[in-house]
Amino acid sequence: GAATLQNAVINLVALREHARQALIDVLDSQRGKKTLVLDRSLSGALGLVAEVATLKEHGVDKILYLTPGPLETDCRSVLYIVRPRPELMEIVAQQIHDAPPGSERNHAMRFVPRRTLLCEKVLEAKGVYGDLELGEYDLDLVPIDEDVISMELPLSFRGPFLDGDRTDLFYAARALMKLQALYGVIPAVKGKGECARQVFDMVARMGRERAGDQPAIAPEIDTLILLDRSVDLVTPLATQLTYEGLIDECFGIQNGYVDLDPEIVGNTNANAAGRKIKTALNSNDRLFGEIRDLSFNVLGPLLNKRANIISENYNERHQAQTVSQIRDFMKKLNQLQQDHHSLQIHTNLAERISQLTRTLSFSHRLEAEHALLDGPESVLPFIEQAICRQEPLAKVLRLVCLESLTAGGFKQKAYNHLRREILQTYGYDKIFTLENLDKLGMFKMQQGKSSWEKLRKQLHLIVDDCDESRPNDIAYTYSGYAPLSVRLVQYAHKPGWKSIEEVMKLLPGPAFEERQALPQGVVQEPKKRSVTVVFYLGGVTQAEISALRFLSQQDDSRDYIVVTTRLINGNSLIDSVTEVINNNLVLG
Amino acid sequence: LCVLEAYARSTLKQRMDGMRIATEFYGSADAFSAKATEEQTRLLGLQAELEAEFNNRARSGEASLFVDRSVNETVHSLLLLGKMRQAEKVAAQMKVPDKRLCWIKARAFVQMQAWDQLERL
Repeated sequence: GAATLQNAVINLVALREHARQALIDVLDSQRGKKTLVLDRSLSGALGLVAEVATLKEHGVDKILYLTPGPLETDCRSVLYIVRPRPELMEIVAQQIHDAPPGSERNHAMRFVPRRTLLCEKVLEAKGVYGDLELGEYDLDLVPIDEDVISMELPLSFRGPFLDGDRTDLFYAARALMKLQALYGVIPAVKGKGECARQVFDMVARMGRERAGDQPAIAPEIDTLILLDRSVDLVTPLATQLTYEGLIDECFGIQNGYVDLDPEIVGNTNANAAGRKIKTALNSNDRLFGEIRDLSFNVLGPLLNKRANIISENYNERHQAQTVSQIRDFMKKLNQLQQDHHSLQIHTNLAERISQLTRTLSFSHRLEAEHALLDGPESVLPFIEQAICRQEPLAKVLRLVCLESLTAGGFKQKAYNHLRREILQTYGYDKIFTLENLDKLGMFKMQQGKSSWEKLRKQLHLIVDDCDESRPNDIAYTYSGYAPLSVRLVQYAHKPGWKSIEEVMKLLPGPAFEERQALPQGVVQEPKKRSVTVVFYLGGVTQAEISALRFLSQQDDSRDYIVVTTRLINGNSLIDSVTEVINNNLVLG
Repeated sequence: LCVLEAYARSTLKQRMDGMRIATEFYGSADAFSAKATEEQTRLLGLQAELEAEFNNRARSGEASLFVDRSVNETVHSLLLLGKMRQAEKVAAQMKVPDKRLCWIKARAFVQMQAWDQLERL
C-alpha cells in the first residue's frame, strides 16, 4: 500500500489527510449511490490519497475509467473526476448524450485542480453545460513517500518550458501557499531559473493578498530552494545508476508503484500468468528503504548478506527450547516472513536488471555518456550506430541531446546529417519533435563555445575516485558524475551561491535569494535539524532524490524534502516533448 | 503548421499538395525543413507507385506496405518482397548512406533467414 509517512521530518500525514478530506467532501456532495468515472491519468495519484474502501464508504458503487463510448451503469448519479483537458470534455458530452432516455441520470464533474474556460466552452458547444454540476477538486500535493511530494502534473516540463503555458506554474505557487498554510511561512527562499522567479513572485503576491490572515505557526521549513528543470537538463538525460533509478529506467515507476511480472514477485498462481502485478516501492518496505538509494553495483553482495542473515534467523527456531523461547521466535516470525518476501522480490528484480546492465550495449552506452559528461567529446559514430540499429527514438534522442548540451550544439554539417538520419529512420513526422528540441536548446546548431567544461570543473561534477560501496560524494548516484542540480543545492547552503556567481551566470535564468517576513508575533525557533524543501519545477529523477537523501545523511543539521511537479526520467522527459501528429491519411 | 495541416488531410493527393505548399512556405528561411518536406513529398510519390505495383491487397483496406512509412521501412518491405533492385533504387533516390542501408539489409535478411545473402554483405 501507500507509504505510512510515519517517519517524515514534517507531518506529511496532515497533507495527505487534507487531500483525503477534500475528496470525501467531493464524494459526499452527491447523494446516494454513485458511479465514479476517473481520468486514467489521475487514478495513481488518487490511489495514494484514499483507498477503495474509503470510496465505498462514501457511496461509490462502481469505479470506471473515462474512455470513449457509452457509460455502462444503472446508478442515477454519475461523478466525473478529470483533468481539465478539452478532449476529455468531448467524451463526457457524448456519454451524457448517450444516456438512455428516462434514466434521469445526474451528472457532476470535478476538475483537478481547477476548471478552465476552454473546457467550459467545449461543454457549452456540445450543449451539455447545463446538464452538469461543475466543481473543482484541489488535489495538488500528493505525498509519494516520507520525503517526496509530487504534484503529478503530466505536462509539467513541456507546459512552461516549451509551450510557454504558465498554468502549471500557477498551480505550483498555489501548492506552495498550501505548504505554508500547513507548515508556516518559509523564511529563506532561493531560486534559479525563469520559472522559479515567476513562481516565487506569484507566491509573494498571494502572500500579500492574504496578509493578516496567515496562520501564526512557527515555521517548520527553514529554506525553500526553487529550481527550474531547464537549469539542469543534462542530469535527467544520463542513465540513473541507483537501484531505484534503474528500476525506473527499466520498468518505469508510476506514483510510487511499479508493474512487475508475476515471476519477480514470486507469485506462481496460474491465473496471474502474463498479468503484471502492481508493487509498491516505498519506505514501508524496510529492505527497500535501505537499498533504494545505493549504487546498483554494490547491491548484489548486500542482498546476499541479507539472505544469510534471514536464514540464520530462521535457524534460531532449532535453538528454541523452552516455551517462552518459542513464543519469542513466533513474535519475530511475522517480521521475518515479511523481510523474506521483500528480499525475494528485490533479489529477483535486481537479477532482471543486471541481465540488462551486463549487456554490451548497456555498457557501451554508459561509456558514451561518460565520455560526453567528461567532454567536450563527440560520440557521433556511436549515435549514428544507434540510429542504424533502430533503437527506440527516445533512447537515441537522449544521447543526441546529451551531446548537444555538453558540446554546446552540433556543427552545421553534423547537425543536418543527424536530423536527416533520424527523419529517414523514424519517419518524417518526427520533424516537429526535432523542432521542439531545438526550441528548448536541447538539440541545436553550435553557437559559440560550450560552457560545460567550466561548469564541470568549477562544480566538480566529475568525481574520479568515487567509492560506490562507501560513497563520499553525491556522484555515486551516476557512477562518477555528480548531478548538477543537487550540486547547486549543496552550494546553496555551503558556501552559498555568491561564491559561485560566475558559474550561476552560465546557467539559464536569474538566481535570487530572498527572505519572507514571518507573520507578526511568530518567532523562528532554533532547531537541531532544519528542513529544506527543494522544489523542482519540471520534474526530478529518482537518482537526484537519492543524492538529496545522501546529503540529508551527511549533514547532521539539515533534512531535505523534495517537492516536484512530476517524477521523471530521461525517456519520459523526451516523450513529453515528442509531438504526436494527427494523421488522417486514409488509403484507397 | 502547413505540414500539420497536410497531415490532417485524408487523401494522398491532398496530402502531397499540402506538403508542396509547406515546402514553399519554409522557403529559404529554413532550408533544412524545406528540403526534408520536399524529400517527404518525393517519398510519398514513390510509395504510391510501389503500393500500386506490389501490394494488390491494399484495396481491401488493409494496412499499407509503403505509403506513409519511413524510408527505412519502405526499403525493408521491398527487401522482404525480394525486390532487391527496387530497394536499392529507392535507397539511392532517397540518398540513404551505405552504412545504414547495410543495416537495413542485414535486418531484412535475418528476418527472411536468407543466410547466404547475409553472408555476402
